[in-house]
Order: sequence, then C-alpha cells, then structure tokens
Amino acid sequence: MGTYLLGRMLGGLATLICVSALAFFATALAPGNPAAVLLGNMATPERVEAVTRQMGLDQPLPTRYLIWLRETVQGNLGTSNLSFKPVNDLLMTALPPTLQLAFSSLIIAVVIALPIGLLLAQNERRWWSRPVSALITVGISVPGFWVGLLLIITFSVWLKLLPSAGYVPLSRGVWGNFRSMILPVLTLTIYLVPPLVRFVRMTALEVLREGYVDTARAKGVKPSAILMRHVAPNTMITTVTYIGLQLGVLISGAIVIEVIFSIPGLGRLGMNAVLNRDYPVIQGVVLVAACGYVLVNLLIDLAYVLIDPRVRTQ
Amino acid sequence: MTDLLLDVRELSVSLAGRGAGATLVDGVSFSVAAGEVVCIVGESGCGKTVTARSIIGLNRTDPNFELSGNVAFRGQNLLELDEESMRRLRGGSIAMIFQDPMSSLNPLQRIGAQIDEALSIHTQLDRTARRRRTLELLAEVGIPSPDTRIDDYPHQFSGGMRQRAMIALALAGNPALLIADEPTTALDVTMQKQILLLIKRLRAEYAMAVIFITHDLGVVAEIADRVLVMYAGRCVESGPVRDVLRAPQHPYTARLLASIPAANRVKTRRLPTIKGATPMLADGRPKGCAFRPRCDFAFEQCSDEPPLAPLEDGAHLSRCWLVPSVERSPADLKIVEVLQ
Ligand SMILES: Nc1ncnc2c1ncn2[C@@H]1O[C@H](COP(=O)(O)OP(=O)(O)OP(=O)(O)O)[C@@H](O)[C@H]1O
Ligand SMILES: [Mg+2]
Repeated sequence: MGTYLLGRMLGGLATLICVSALAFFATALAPGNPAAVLLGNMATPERVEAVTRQMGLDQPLPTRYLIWLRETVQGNLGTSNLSFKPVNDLLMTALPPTLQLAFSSLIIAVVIALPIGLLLAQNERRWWSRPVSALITVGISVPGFWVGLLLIITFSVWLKLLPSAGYVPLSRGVWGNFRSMILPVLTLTIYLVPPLVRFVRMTALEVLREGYVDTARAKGVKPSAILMRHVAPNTMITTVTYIGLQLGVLISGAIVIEVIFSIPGLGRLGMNAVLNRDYPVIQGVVLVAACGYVLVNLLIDLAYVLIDPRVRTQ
Repeated sequence: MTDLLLDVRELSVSLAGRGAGATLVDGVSFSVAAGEVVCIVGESGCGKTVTARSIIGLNRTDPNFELSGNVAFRGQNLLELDEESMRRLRGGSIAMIFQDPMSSLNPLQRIGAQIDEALSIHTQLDRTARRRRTLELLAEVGIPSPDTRIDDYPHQFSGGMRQRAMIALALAGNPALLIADEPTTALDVTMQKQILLLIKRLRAEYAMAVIFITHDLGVVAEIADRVLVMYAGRCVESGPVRDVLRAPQHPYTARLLASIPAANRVKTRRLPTIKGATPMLADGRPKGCAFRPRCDFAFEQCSDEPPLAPLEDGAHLSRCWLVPSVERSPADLKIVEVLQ
C-alpha cells in the first residue's frame, strides 16, 4: 500500500513536470512577441528590442525554461503583462470562486447521480426505466451553456429571484455568496449529472451480473440490501476512476460557466490571458489547473485504498 | 422413498421476450428425499444450471424467463410462493453454491462478514454469537486457523478456500437442501477431491439433501444416491445410481459413461465430447428424440419422441424406444464394471 501511494505520488510529480514544460513551451513558442504586445502599436522597434532584452526574451529557449522553472518552484510566477499585478495575487483571488464552483457542483452531481444510476440499473425492466434513460441521453447532448442561459432567463430575467452574474465572496456574506452561486452551480451540476448517471447505470448493470450478487440473492438478502451492501460499493470503485478521468470535463465546464455568469475565477482569468497573450498568467493558470488535477487524482488513489481491500493489502 | 423433501413436476423454463419460444428446460420431473444426494448430469448447455436456479428461485423475477410446472418443497409449490417468503427460504432451508468460487464472493467484504450476513438473516443469534458460529463454520469446512482468517478478504483466499468459505456460507442457514452447481469444476484435481469429500461429510453431519450438478460421472459414482441425466433440456434417464451406472438404458448415458477414461475418472474437467453437438435450443426443439442425430442406434421410430418409461422395477426411468434392451458395445461394459 505504501509503495502504491508512493508510486502514485511520483507519477503525479512526473505529470506536473511534463505539464510545466508544456505550459512554458506552448506559450513561449506561440507566434507574436509579448514585448510588442506589451508596448502596443505605437512602440518603436528599438523600444521593442530593449524591452525584449529586459524581459529575457532574447535568451535561448532552454535557458529561458530553466530560469522560469527556478522561479516557479520558488513560487514566483512573475507579473501579468497586462495589469502588472503579481500572477500569484491574481491566482489567489481567482482560485476560491473556481474551487467553490467546481467542488460544490461535483459533490452535488455525485450525490444525485449515484442513487439515480443504481436505481435505474436495478429496475432495468420497469416501465419508467427506459424513458428516464432516454432523458439522460438527451441530457448528455445538451450543451452546458444553454442550460445556464435558460436558468438565467427564468430565475433572473422573469422571476427576478437570483442575480444573473457576478460573484459575492464568502467574506462578504454567506447569504450573498450562496445566492450568487446557486445558478452557476446548478448549471454545472446539470451538465455533470447525465454522463455520470449513464456511467453509474452501466457499471451497476455489470456488477448486477457478477457472481457475488447471485450469492447474495441465494443467501436471502433483501433487494435493497443487495443494492446498498454489494452493488453500490463495487460500482463506486469504477465510478471513482471515471470521476478522475472526467476532471478535464469538469474544468472545461467550469470555464464556460464562469464566462456565462461573469465569475472572476480561474477560467475567466485564463481566458482573458489567452486573448491578450498574457503569458505569465497563462502559465500560472495552466500550472494551477495541473496541480489541481494531480492533487485530485491523488485523492482518488487514496479513496481506492479506503474502498478496495485488494489495493490496501498488496 | 421416505420423507419427500423436494418434488419437481413437469418443470419447464422457456425464454420470454426476444428469444421467445426457446424452451431451455422441458418438463423435467424428479424428487429428492430428505438427506438424499441427487446428481444431475449432462453436457454443457443441457439446462442443469437453469433447473437449479429455478428451484431456488434465482430466475423467478427475471422477465426473460417463463417458468411453469410445480416445484414442491415440503409440500409447498415454490413457483407460486410470493417473493418475500421465497427470499426467507433462500439461504435458509435451501442453499446454493456456485461453480466459480473466484467470482461468487464479494471482493470488498471480509469473509466473516459475508457469512455473518447470512447468519443475521436466518438466525436469531446476536453479534458475538454470530461471530462464534462463523468461526465454527469456517473450522467445519476445513479453513485452517479460522480466527486469523475470518477477517481476510476473498482475494487472500485460494480458490479451494473460497469454495470452502462458500460452503460455510451455505451452511449458515442450516439448509435442508443444498444445491451445488458444479462446485468443483473450476478447481484443480486435488482440490476437487477434497471439496467433494467435504460435501459428502457435511451432508451426513447436517442431514441435508444435496442436488449435485456435475459433468463428471466419476463424481456421480462417488456421491450420488440417485442420478438424473439431462439432454437438451429434458430428462432422458433417471434412477438409483447403481442401476444407472451399471446398466445405462439410454444410449446417451452409455456414451457419457464410455467417454470418461476410467483411470482418471475424478480428474476429467470437461467431458470428452460425444460425436456431434447438442442441438441449439434457441432454434426450437428438434422433432422426435433430441439425441437421434448423434445416436448409433437411431431407427425410424426415433422421429417420434419416446416417453420417459420405467423399467420393470419402476425406479429406473429412460426415454428411449429401445428400452429395456439397448445394445451396448463391450467397451462401455468394461467401464461400467470399473465403476462398480
Ligand atoms: N439468461 C439466459 N438467457 C438466454 N439463454 C440462456 C440464459 N441462461 C441460460 N441460457 C441457455 O439455456 C441453456 C441451458 O443453460 P444452462 O446454463 O442451464 O446449461 P448447463 O447445463 O448448466 O451447462 P454447463 O454445464 O455449461 O453449466 C443454454 O443453451 C444456455 O445458452
Ligand atoms: Mg451450468
């Protein structure tokens, strides 16, 4: 078990190094000189060249990468080319809304999708199973932003119950924060639930065909207990893996929703940075996203240890 | 026969829905007396498992299957019993163990907990008493030092030990009838023998009846009181084990006997095939005797289905027009002698 977790951690570290290199080279090799962008259209070529040298952009790429890596490891991500604020500060203000959005939605989605998927699998032959499954399939093909816009129209424009945009930090009141997050979280949850339900249902259908489910039935276990004690835990194992693989979907979904609801989160920060070729910020956002990815996957490996004795005792 | 425990009359199981019409089990009748061991033999796909699962009611709620006939357990027709009463019976008076011990235990639960679950359903014991009983059961089925093994997970057990644990689990409800569906097929040779002896011993100890499903006539000779030979979903021959093995009346039984090498009777995992293949039941039952295309003795009359007719003593039944004088080759007779 120790070696298992150690291996996973080393794997995570390797991922981080690869992503950091990717983040650096992808932005460094992109066309367009950041110095020119920084100075605007009116700058003289001499001035551009001077700033280029000042920013270290005339150095060979590997040198630039090593310098960048050294600074990054020390926690210095540079300053934004756009606002001249430290990237660290920008990330620190953008992180809380994103984390709040992503994790509340994910947790709510899992809590909703797990029982629905299990019940759909167990009642495969009931008349209502087919229409609900069809609805889920439809739900998968509905784009997240469309649901968001519908919700805005309904709750903000018509009913005037909830704000359509903006983010109220927790520090400025729990109630305001809660109100401002209802629609975004709802939208992201609705986006996440259908594929999760489908996955849980399919996995549970396979688990239901396993020999130990027959054994449980032959023991005289109640159907509800079979579902809770035998089917659900075994379904969870595969589902946990699936959630790890779907983190990318979660991140991209969060970005779209931050843009729709004008939430000043990581997604919007990254989006603006890309549009303005603000390289230090782009790199910072990519690094934070990668760290999040690696961290969550480590948590998932830890969850395995908790759920699956085969991992624990090997 | 004294004290009838299970009486299966004209049990038929057919597929409903998509593959509609295919009859997997067709009018099978047999009975099991208390404490008796009845073996069901036949090639792969002849409906042994479907029959067993119908008795314990594992497929009664599956809309893919349509069951008819009468399965009387202690005089009560199980096919008409409500699911809740049937559930109480499962794992209690009727227990079942399966072919593949690798998949029949929940990988996420401790062995002890899985036995405990059965005890908590079928006994009034409290927590500590259940644990004591679980340890007893594990010792009973030959798990060495049960107190260190009770909290192991299935993956820490070998295949043979898992099957022992499954047997302990089946014993938890003190069953009057144990259904064992090829419990040794997935195990290696020495383990097969041990599990067989274990079931034999426990059956005497617990005075339970056993329906033992197998491919292996060597196993039949070892354990059975009576045999039921199935072919293509039908019973083609049944009777006391000595009569059937000594003087098989149906050519199919005779071929089954001939196809086991006498020296390693217990070893044969799969039956060496008899020429030809079993008919695909999904295509509908062939007219006349189902064994006719593979039978060395087939003649005109075989295009009509023969009845399951008793021999002179009445206990030995066979479904063949040639009864009671099937001509058997000398080779067959030799094996029959070895088995005696
Ligand atoms: N759920 C099912 N749906 C459709 N057909 C089935 C189903 N279960 C069994 N069958 C069919 O019923 C027939 C009898 O199967 P069964 O499992 O009873 O055979 P068996 O005698 O136990 O064979 P084996 O020795 O291989 O275990 C086979 O032709 C099989 O394909
Ligand atoms: Mg079978």
